[in-house]
Amino acid sequence: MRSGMKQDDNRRVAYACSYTPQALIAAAGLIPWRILPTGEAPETAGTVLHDNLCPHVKLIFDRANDDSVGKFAGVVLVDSCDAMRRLADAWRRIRPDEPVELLDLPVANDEGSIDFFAGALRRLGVELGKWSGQPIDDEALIESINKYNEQAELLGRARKRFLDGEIDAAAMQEVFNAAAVADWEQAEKLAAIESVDSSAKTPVYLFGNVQPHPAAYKLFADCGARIVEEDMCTSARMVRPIIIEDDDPYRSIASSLLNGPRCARTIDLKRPGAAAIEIAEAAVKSKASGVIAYTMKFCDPYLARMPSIAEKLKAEGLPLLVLEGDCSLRSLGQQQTRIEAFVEMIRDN
Amino acid sequence: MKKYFDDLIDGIEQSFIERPESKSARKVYALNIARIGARLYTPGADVAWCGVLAPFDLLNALGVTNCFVEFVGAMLASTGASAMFIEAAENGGYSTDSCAYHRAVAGATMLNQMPQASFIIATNCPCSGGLAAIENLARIFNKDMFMLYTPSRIDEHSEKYLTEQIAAMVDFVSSQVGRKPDPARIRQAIEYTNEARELLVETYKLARSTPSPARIKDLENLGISLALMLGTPEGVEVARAYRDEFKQKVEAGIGGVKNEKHRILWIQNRIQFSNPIIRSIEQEFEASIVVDELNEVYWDPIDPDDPYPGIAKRIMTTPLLGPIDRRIEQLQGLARDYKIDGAINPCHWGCRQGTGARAMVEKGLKEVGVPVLNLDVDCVDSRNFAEGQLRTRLEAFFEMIN
Repeated sequence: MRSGMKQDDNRRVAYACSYTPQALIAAAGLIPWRILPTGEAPETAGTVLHDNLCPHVKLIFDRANDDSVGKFAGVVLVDSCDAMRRLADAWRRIRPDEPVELLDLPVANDEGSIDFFAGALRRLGVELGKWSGQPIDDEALIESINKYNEQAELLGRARKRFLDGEIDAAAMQEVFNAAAVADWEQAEKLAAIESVDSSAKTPVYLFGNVQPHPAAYKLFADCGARIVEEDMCTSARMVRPIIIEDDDPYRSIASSLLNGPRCARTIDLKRPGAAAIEIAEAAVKSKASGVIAYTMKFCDPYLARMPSIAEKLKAEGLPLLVLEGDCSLRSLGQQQTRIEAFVEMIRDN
Repeated sequence: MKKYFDDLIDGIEQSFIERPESKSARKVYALNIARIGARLYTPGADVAWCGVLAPFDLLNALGVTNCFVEFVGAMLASTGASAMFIEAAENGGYSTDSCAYHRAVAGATMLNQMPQASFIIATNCPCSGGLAAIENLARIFNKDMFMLYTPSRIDEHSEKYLTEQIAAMVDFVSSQVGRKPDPARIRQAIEYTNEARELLVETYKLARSTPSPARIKDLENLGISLALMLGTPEGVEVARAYRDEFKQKVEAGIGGVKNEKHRILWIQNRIQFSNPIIRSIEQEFEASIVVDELNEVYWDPIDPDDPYPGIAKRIMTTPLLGPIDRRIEQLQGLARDYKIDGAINPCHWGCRQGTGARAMVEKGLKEVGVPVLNLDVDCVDSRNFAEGQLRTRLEAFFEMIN
C-alpha cells in the first residue's frame, strides 16, 4: 500500500470521477488524487463557468482557483457529462501550466465502446508517461492493476463491514475519503475501527452521486435512517476492481470500468432505463423500507432518469425521497425535516 | 398536430398560388418544415427518433421517416403550445432545472403527442440531457436503440471510430426496416447533400454582404432544421431558394433590415416561441442578424462513393464538440468574416454545454473586439419570459455598440 503523501507532492494527478483509470495513472509513477468538493475555498466558479452547472464541478473549480489543492503534475478529467467538459476548459484557463487530459468515456458498454475506450486509455497512458518521464509498459501496468485491485479490495472490505453492520455509513465514507487522496495508511486504519450507530433503526437505501461528507451520513442517522446499502459516486462506485482479460491491460481497464458500477450517464443499449431497474433491484435486495436519492442540483444524467427510477421503486412498493443538494452539509441540513418526516413515514413499511 | 401541419401546408401553398410574389425563401423553408411535421404526425408513421447529430441524409436514403427529438420541443414552442407539455413533464417528476427542449419532449410523450418510435438513434453530442431524453424514449416506446458516440477528442482515432459506427448504424437500420441499403440511393442522397451544401455556402457568403440580405428571422434554425432535409431534393430546393433570394437582393443592394446599423452574430439557438424582442432588434435597434453560429457550413463535400468518412468528419465539425477554445476560434472567425458589431447569446436555462461556457465565449469574442450580450432566457419555455428585463438589457447593449 502507498503511504499517505503530502499535498505538495508533485507526482499527484488530480481527478474528479470514479471512472478515472487510477491504475493507469499509478503505472506512470504518478499518484491519482481525487479532488473532492469540500473545503471553504471562495466561490469563484461563476466568473468562468455558469451557475447552472453542477455544484460538484463548481466546487472543484473553486478549490483549483484558490490553489488550496496545491500543484499537480497534471489533471485527468473524464468526459462523463457536459459539466466535466466545461470544467476541463475552465481548468486550462485558471491553471494553464498544468496539462489537462479530458478522457473520452463512451456512454455504452458494448464491445465497440470497450475497444475504443481501450485505445483512448492507451493514448492517455502515453501522455501520463510524458508527465512523469516514466513511460508505461504493459508489465508496469499489470503490476499497477494488481496494486490497484488490492486497494479496491480494502475498500470492498470496508463496504462489506458496512453492509454487515459492523461500521456505519459515516465511518465507511471516512475510509473512501482517505483513499480518494491516496492516504492508504489512513484508509487502512479507518477500515479497521469499530463504529456503529445503533440508534438509527429504519433501513434506507441511498443512491445518487456526490456526497463526501461523513457528517451527512451522521445526519441521516440522526434522522433515524440507517443506510443499509448505497450507490454513490464518492463511495460504492469507487470500488471498481479490474479483471485482467486476454493479456491486454488497457482493454481490461476499459471493460472493467464500463461494466462496473453504473453512474446514470452510462447506458445499457440492450436495456434502456437500466439505471432505474438496477436501483430498484438493489433497493429491494437491501431490504430497505424506503429509498433516498441524493443528487446534486443540475446533474442532468440523474435529473432525466429520476421519473423512471421513481416509477420502478413505486412498482416495488418502495417510497422515494429525492433530495437535491450542492454537495455541502449546509444544504443537506436544510432538508433535515423532510428526511425525518420521510423516515417516520416509512418506519413501518 | 397533423391537422396543424396540414393547415400550415395548405395555407402556404395557397399563398404561393394566390400571391406568387410572396414566395420567399423563408416560406419555402417553412413549407418543407411543415411537411416534415405532417409526416411525423401521420397516423401509423413510425419515426426513427434521433439525436441532433444523426446523419439524416443517410436515414433519408434508407427510406426512414426520421427526426431529432428537440424538433418537437422547438415546434411546440413556436406554436405557443409548449407550456402545457412542459408542465405535464414537471408534474411527472422532470426537474425544472433540466432543458425545456427535453421537458417538452417528455411531456409530449406523456400526453401521447410524441409520434411512435420505430427505433432510436442516440447521439451523445451535443449534450448529456439530449442523450438521456433519447434513452427515455427508447425505454418508453420499448424500441431498439443504436448509439452513435462522438468522442470529444478531435483526431483521426475518433474519426475512424465514428466512421465505423456510421457503417454499423446503416446495418442496424437495415435490420430494423428489413431491407438492404441501396448504394445508388445513398449515392444520390449524398449528391443532394453536396448540392445543398454548395448552395448554403453561397447563401452564407451572400449574407456577409453589407447590407446583409437576411431579414431578421431568415436564418433562424436554418442549419439545424435543413439537416433533416439533407439527402433529398427538398433540401436542395430550400437552399437554392435562399441562395437565389439573397443573390437577387445583394445585386439590387436591398438589405434584409432597413437601414442596417448593426450586424449581429447569434450564438447557438434562437428563442423558439414568438416574442417581441426579435422584432425590436430589427425595428427599434435597426440591427440585422447576419449569421447564426449553428448554420455555418463547417464541413467539406462528402464523397458519394465512400460517404461514411465524410459524414463522420461532418459530425465532428459541429462547434458544440470538443474544447471550448475550438468553438471560440470558430466564433471569432465568424465575427471577422461577417463584420460583426456584436453578438447575442440566449443563454438557455438548462443548457450545461452551451450556457455553462458563456463566460469563456464572451471573453473570447471580447478579445476580437466583439461585445456579447448574454440573455438569461429559456428558449422553449415562455412562462418566465421577462420581456421588460430583456428589453432593458438590449437597450443597454445597442447603446454601447452604437
